[in-house]
Amino acid sequence: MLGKSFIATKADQSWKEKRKASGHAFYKDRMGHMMDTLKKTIMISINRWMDEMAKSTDGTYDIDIDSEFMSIFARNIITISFGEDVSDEKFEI
Amino acid sequence: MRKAPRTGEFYAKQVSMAVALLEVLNQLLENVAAKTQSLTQFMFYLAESKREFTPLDTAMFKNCEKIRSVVNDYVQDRKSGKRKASVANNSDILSLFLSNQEVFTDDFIVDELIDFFGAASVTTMNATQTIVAHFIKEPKSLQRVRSEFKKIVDECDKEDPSLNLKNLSRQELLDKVVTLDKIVEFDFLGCVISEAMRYMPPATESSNFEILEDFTSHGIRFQKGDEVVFVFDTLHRNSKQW
Repeated sequence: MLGKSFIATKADQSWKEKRKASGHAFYKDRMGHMMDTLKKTIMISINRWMDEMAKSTDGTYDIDIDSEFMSIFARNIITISFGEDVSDEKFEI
Repeated sequence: MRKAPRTGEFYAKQVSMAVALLEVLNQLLENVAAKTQSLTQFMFYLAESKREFTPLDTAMFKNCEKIRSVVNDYVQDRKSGKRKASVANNSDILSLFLSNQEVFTDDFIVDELIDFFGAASVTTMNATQTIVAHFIKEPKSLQRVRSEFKKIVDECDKEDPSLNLKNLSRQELLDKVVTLDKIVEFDFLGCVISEAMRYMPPATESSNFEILEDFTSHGIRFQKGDEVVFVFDTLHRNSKQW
């Protein structure tokens, strides 16, 4: 599935060249946009938890950390890697 | 939350790219958990099992092919301009790859996007869960992180009273205080993250590194062409080497 990606192949000369060119992904302005994406994704989840908590009779709301975090980080990475905004709740993750 | 469909069911369906990616990720994780202890062992398992495929393997390989074709179609749509990035200033990784097509071939872009997705989402998810588990076990540590945040908010407020930080919502506070320039000031939180990475590294081993010339280090002779893997999991707990 990963083909000749960075993590699945050995670090040789061609790896080095591609790795260097990919380094631009982590320049400061891009990092800033990545961070904004992450903040947005996290706030959507937090707001949903808060809403559920307010709705419940005893003021508590149980969350499954594993699936909730999966949803946050998967949405975040899809947006960062593909440039596709999936923060909308209509995408079930 | 949607429960992941069983292997095979997914393949028959037309699904969105996001769901398709997650599905393969789930299957990867299930396979790792069921048959092996680590991703490296899982790779070995895949290599060895080439002689004899179980129905599960075959279904998974088909899913991998499907995923690659879904991602490839998406990349082609972006290349032709049929779809556009919805991230500000085209700062997504695909835009970066497409802006340098001499280095990044189509195949490489597909490899790398799946790589980024799989590697980045599971690692950040696991690392964050380690940190949350730590905060639950050690409330004092959580208290310290909160005090640090409060201190930084107070400092920002003093520096620029026009920000009016006292009356902001959680979202506005996040936007104004947690910025790329400010996060370096979160010293204690930084230590917690580093320690979580040491104690429970989300990637237990490095990729393979190829030795480009003969050399000797710490009495160990490395030859050109040798491949080296760093095992962070044990290295991080070995006080003699770390």
